[in-house]
Amino acid sequence: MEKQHQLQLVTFILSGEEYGINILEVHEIKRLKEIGITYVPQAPEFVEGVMNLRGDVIPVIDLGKRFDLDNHKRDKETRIIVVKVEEKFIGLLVDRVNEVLTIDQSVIEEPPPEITQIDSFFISGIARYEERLVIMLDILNILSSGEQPEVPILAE
Amino acid sequence: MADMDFEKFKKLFLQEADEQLEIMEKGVLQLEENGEDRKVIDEIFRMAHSLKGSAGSMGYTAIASLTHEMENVLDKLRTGDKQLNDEIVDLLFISIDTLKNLRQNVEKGSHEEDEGEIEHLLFQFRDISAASSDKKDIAVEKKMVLTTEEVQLFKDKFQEKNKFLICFELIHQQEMQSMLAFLILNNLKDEGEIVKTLPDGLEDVEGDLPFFSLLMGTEKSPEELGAVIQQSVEQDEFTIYSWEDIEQGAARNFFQEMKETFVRRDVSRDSIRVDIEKVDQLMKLVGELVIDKERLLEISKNIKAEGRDNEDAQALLETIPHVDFIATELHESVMDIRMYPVGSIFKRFPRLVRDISRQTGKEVRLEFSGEDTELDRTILQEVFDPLVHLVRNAIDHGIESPGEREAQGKSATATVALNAWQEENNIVIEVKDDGAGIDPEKIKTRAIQRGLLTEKNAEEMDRESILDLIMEPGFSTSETVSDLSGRGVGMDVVRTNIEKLDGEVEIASEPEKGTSISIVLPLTLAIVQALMIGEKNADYAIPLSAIFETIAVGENNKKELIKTVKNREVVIWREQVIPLIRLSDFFNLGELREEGFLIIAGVKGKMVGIMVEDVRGEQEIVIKSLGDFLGKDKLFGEIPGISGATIKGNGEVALILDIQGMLRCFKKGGDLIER
Repeated sequence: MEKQHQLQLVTFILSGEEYGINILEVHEIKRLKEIGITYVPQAPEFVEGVMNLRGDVIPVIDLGKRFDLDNHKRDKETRIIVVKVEEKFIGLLVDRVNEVLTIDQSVIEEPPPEITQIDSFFISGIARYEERLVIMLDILNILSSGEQPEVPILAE
Repeated sequence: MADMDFEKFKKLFLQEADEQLEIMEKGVLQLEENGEDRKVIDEIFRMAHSLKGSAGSMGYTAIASLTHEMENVLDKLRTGDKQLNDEIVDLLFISIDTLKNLRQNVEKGSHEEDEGEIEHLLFQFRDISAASSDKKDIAVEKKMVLTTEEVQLFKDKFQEKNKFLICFELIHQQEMQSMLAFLILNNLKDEGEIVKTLPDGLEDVEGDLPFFSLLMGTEKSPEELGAVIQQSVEQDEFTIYSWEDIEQGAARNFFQEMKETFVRRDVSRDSIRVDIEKVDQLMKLVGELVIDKERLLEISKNIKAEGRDNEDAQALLETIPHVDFIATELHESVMDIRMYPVGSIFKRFPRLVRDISRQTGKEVRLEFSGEDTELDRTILQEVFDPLVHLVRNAIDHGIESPGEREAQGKSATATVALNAWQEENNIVIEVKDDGAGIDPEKIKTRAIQRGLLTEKNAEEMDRESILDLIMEPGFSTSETVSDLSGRGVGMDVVRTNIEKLDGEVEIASEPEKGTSISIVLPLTLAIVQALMIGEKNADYAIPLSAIFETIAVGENNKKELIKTVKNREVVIWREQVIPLIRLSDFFNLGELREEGFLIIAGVKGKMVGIMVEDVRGEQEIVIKSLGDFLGKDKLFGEIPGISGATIKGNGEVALILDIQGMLRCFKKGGDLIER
């Protein structure tokens, strides 16, 4: 296997499903309880609040609410993944961070529409890896649309 | 590495090019206005020359070729081979515009090598350069010192007497040069009449003065004058030229050298050039320091309260005030670095005004005052576009055509003035014209047509509020959509942009007399004093500048302070009735409390009472934005009532209340607009 065909993903859990973000987009990962998030009144519902990232104020969004997922819990496993896309920072609140996964690009497939609860607009591909399905998120699309695109959500 | 170096040089090149183009443009404007002026031509020439040099070494051949041709024509102007005419002025303007475009291309990294674009310009320059010389009769170096009229006067006055030009080059004396010049001047005054010195006002020049000269009429001989001068300086430090010598161009080299010395001196002040990013970084660090300082002050309060009197606690208590002092001083010094004179943006206006008045067929004189007034650089940059809009508006809509003006008994040439001054903690920048003014009646009619106002409301409004209507979104008085200001971006954009900077726009106008629009800005944005308040376990900051009074509200006074009028709660404060906002209600935070603190706040005469649960105290806050996603025109939208955020001593974020924004949520009469 040649190295340039490999990809590293930070994977995390959201309502029981496993998602992945390219590690190059991840700036750092924080525990929810170790940082103070300030609630911002009147902000969209999925905006959890704002936090202090070394002197800059950045928003934190609840990815579960962003994707309209159920069974979304907060506990000691809850993490904030700070991502940096196009020089902009944002915190993503997730249920649990799993691991850093190295995969070959050849295992990535186009997302079949029926496979996931969330909108395909937010998905860049599906990685099949040792019986696991990792949904790869398109951070740029997530961060470039204020409202959900008007594509019906494809369930189960 | 080579790539990085190149990027660094490119950045430097772009920076220098901006400066050079600006000076060139200013120069050409001066030429257009005042006619041929050797000093100005030299200046443009020098700028074109250095731009050519740096562009050449960076491999930007289009810029280099164009500046090369400009240089040729400018050189002909300076030797008197060519005379300045409209054709040359226009060509110079177009070239500067083209150079600006080429510079943009370089910045964007797009292909700059497209010589086709500039070819026709190159040909035009070559045509002019090649055309036959139209040399003037008077030698160039004489023009540098004297105008033709002055030469005639001088000749007439001293017909039979000796006329001398005495040039000094102080090669031995490095110290006290201006003192020597003063002495020489004084001694020579007894020997004849000195009509002119270069530099002008020689007696008042201070510091280094290696070159100077004077022109005098006298009965004395050159030898006698020389003897007088040698009392002060050595024999080889001066030359006495007779009038005949001058007319043959004998002093030409001296003047060239002298001029260059002065030009060099002008640019080499005791300063360094610093990338603004570095200053911003410094500012950010100082901001962090201020936050920590506030934290330390909090700790010292706790120590005092708990009465821990061991030695270390004592030492800490003694050190903290000093840290407080240093942090404040440091903050002020860094702020000072960021201060920039308003003149730095004013100087971009002459060209703009020239172009707009040409397009609109109006005659406009531009005046300035208060160019030295300083403002935070960040604010200054943000203020440029709104100012451009105001100036465009003034010329396009405010000022009448020359014919109309004369018919009204005004001078055909209108005046637009850019004035700046400091007023307490604010900087005011005013755009003032002597044009047609704004007719409140027309505004009323228009606002009613546009549905911004009912006729009944219009009756009740005072003059000032009516004028303010032109800044409402959807209001535009321009009947014809002109190419200039009527492009859909109106005064509302100006207001929004200024309010983003925490500033205000004030309008005053007198029909037929003119209009004055003032932008009132805070001296600086980054760090302000604020009152910290608490609501539902969260802290919010309110800038102290917006607060008039803080009143504790309890059982005893709540009934007389807060009343209900037409189902709306209002505050009776100093015999005024002002609307009340309960913060938890405004932000939908849940249960409302009857008691707490009432903050009387206001901006620009409009007041609001804000009921909060707790007041935590005053502190310095560093103002930050809500990031790249929250706010007007950003992905997650604007947050009504919140203007920004700050970081507290404990590292958490506190939001800053936007008093102006809250006030805007009230319609006339105090009803909350549906949000």
